Amino acid sequence: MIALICGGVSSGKSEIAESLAVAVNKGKLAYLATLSPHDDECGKRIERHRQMRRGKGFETFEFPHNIEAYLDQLLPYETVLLECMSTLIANEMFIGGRNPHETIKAVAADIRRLSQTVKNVIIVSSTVFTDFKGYDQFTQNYIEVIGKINCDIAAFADVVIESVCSVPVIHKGKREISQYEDLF
Amino acid sequence: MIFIIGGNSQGKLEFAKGLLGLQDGSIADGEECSFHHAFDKPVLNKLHMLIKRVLAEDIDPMEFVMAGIERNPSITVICDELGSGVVPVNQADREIQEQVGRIQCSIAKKAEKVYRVYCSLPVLIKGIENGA
Repeated sequence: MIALICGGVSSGKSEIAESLAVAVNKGKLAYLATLSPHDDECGKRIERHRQMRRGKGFETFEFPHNIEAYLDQLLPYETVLLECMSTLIANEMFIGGRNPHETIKAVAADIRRLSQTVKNVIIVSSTVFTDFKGYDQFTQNYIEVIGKINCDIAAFADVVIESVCSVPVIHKGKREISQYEDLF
Repeated sequence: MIFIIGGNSQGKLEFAKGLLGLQDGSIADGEECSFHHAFDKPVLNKLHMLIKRVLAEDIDPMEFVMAGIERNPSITVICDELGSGVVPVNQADREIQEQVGRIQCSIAKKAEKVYRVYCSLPVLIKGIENGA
């Protein structure tokens, strides 16, 4: 299963993604963390996520960017939960120095390779498309890249779920999801 | 409890009034109501503004809101969705965005029904229309 779980900030998307990953998985579970603890606030966020995952059987890998270089390490796993796409994109653009076009190409290719490497790929991404703060061009480019990559993943994903205050709104793949009773 | 969410200016309050047959006097406004009486009326509107005010007084907003709902479990709560923009640069704004999001998740888990109002159209995302 390829699944995309989107939602706003603090919308409960991680919890939904973790439940789905655990439900579909029959082998080994990997958690692909893209956020680095570069300050206290990120550190706290990471710790909160670690607490949430505890006891669910995830092994954690930290690949802030350039996932392709690490795919071999994921071969033994059946299910990968990647969190979060918007951070991966920020890292590719702002640490990796890729322009928007290169970022879209690289990330789309990485996700396809990832989905050929493991059976189930659950991707958490952000919705950042419904406000207007008069963003600068740099930020506007970032928003557009997230939008394009979300659309690209949604097109080939089996399941697309939006988390709205922790309520899963299923936009694609109702039939696939219905196989898993009591999932949500 | 009924929970109504949606973006700014989407018609959430009008929907609530129609759904519950309410007059203006039955609605507390999170922007100006007293903290003490915030959860006393049948409807609490603008929960996100109440959370902002509570945070400014250094009160734990999650405890405050969940205790208020506990006291009036048949309340209808209305709240703006704030989380679907780029993470704010300002730390206080990030704090409000995160607290509102987490509190919304907790309320939605307790609510019998959750409606999301989109361009004035109410979409029931949790619960059964004519059920409990």
